[in-house]
Amino acid sequence: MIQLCSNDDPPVSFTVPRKAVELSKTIKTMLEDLEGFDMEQTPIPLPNVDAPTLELIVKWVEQHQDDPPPVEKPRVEDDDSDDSDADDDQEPEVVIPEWDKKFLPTDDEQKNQLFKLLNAANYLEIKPLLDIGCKYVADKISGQTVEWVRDYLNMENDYTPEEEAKLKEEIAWAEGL
Amino acid sequence: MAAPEAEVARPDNFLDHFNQLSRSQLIKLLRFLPPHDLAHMRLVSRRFYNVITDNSEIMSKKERNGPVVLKCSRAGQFSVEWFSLFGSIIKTLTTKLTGDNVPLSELLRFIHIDGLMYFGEGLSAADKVLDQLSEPWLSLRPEVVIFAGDLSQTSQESLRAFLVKVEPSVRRLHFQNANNLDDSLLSDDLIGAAGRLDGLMLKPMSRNSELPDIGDETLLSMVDADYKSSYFSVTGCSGITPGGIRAFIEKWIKKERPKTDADSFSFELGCELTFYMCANVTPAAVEEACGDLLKKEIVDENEENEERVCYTIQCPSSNCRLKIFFHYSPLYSHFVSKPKLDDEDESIDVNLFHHSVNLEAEDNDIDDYDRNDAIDYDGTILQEENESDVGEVQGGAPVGTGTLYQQGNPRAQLRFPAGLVKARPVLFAKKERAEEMLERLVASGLITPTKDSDWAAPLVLADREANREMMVCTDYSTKFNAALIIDQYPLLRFENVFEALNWKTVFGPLDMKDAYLHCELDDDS
Repeated sequence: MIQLCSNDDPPVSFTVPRKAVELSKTIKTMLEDLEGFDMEQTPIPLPNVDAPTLELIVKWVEQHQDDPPPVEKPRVEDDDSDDSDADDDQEPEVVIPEWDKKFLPTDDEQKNQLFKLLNAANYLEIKPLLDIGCKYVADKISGQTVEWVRDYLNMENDYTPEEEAKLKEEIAWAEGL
Repeated sequence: MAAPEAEVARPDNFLDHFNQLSRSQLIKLLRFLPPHDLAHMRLVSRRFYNVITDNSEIMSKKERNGPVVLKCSRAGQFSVEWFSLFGSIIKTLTTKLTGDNVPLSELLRFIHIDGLMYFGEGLSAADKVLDQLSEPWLSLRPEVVIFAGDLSQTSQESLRAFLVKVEPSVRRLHFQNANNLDDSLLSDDLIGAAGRLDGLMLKPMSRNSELPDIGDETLLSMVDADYKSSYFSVTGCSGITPGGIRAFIEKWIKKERPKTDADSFSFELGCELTFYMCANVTPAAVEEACGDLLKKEIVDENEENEERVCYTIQCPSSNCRLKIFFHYSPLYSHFVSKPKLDDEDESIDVNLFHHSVNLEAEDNDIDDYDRNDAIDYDGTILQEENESDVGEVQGGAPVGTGTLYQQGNPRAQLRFPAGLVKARPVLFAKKERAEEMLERLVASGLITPTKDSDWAAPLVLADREANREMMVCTDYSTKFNAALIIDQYPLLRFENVFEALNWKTVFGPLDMKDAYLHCELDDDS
């Protein structure tokens, strides 16, 4: 069992089976690097994750600890390699499992929790969670108006009216292709 | 539009903007979005704009498989025409490439192009266009690229960049009656930028072109082309030498090719080289350089009784053939016509005949039918009424009845379980003639009487108005067809057929007598 600590003051700690926690590449690499130390006794501090988010993460990894490892495709490395040929035309295919649909904080009031979860998944490098989370948000904003998306994603319109008008014109021009 | 200033680099740390997604997450998220949404999402904020435009090469794109025609009017109006696969136009976009209008590279940002790219009339392939098209985020994967416009404002650098851009997908590259194709524009090295090609045509509009920098190197690179069907058609390339042709032949022969089944029915496989008006390549020079390797054939004679020769060589290990021509009609057979609207068909015909006067195009393909003795014609080849010079083309093919099938024809195999259908009554009026026809078929050995069988299908008697003859057919649609295991094979796409018909001036119906009876079954069937 491995202990994980949130960034709260005082830290909240969670005990997680090692197998589950290794779904996080970040932690897995760390544990491998620290081979030989008794990690069971040393809580791992996670300075970028707060308690409610960590709780969600722990729930998720426990649920998914027995999942078959994702098939490693060349495009998995797309973050560091700029090799556009490998991931050029490949649309990542992600299906959100039933359990995850219920698990994700999907109410609009909880959206900030969802973003925090995604940020934590990113930091901890839990790729499958990141995938389904991003897929969820993508489905959510697909087909919505620009204003709605802006509001949903907590973004501000920082275009000047002229710029906006020009961009709109450009979009209209290529419409229907 | 002018791109908003680049996003200020900031640490990708979510603590700074707790409720926002980080850039890498946005990229991931946006990759799930359909192209239509992506175009709109750029309006959300500058950050979105930057994320989308910086990563558009990995985001989803709208697939556009039909031909794309680019043209430029004299007034500088640039238009892009999008066709569906079936020849109907989907949309025409017009823009100016200068000033405040949207540049082409923005327009194509969310579109994936494959199929055919046709640079048509005007300065459609000018540097400013090619430079836009070479932008790294565009997804251009055309299989065929045709330059048929004015190349006076096209530089080597821009052309090279474009060819490098399309190199992964392009298989056929044509400079097809391109205007102002400067002798110094094309070179071996430049064509090499397009990578492996299966078809290359260099046909400047001007008859005085020499293209001195296109030489044996380009020719030799064609050895790697698709073994089934490739062509190298050049006009006025003074750089190609008989020695280069010999080197090509020697390499071509040695090339490993999959062994093809001699019995299997297939189109003629191989490679076609056409050298028209190439200063150093004359039939005599080629014969001198590589006569020991080649077989000479007379294709036909033109109006001045000048022989048209073709040299051929058979690949020893496969049924691929290499053919070398020196006249223009093989060249035109590879012409890719400009995609047109369905309702423009008539004007196409007019153009075709108009051109045929000037270019003396003629149809070689008709001769091919003559070579196959097994086929009898029940019709004649009709001459179209037009001004073109068709004198030397055979006015009609032999008419008659020969033996119905010959050994060596491909044999078909039928595989099925069993089924029986009752006979249908035969009309009295037709009975006599039907019996006569059946007797003829029995006499020719095509059918044999049988007393009992697992299979039976009713007769269909069809009167043919043309020659008062009766066709005795069997209605296999009753049970037999359903029971057959059908061989699946690809058919020619009609675009390709029409493309091959371009520049042909003589058309005729081919009505084979007892056509289906020419197809021989294998013994088991």
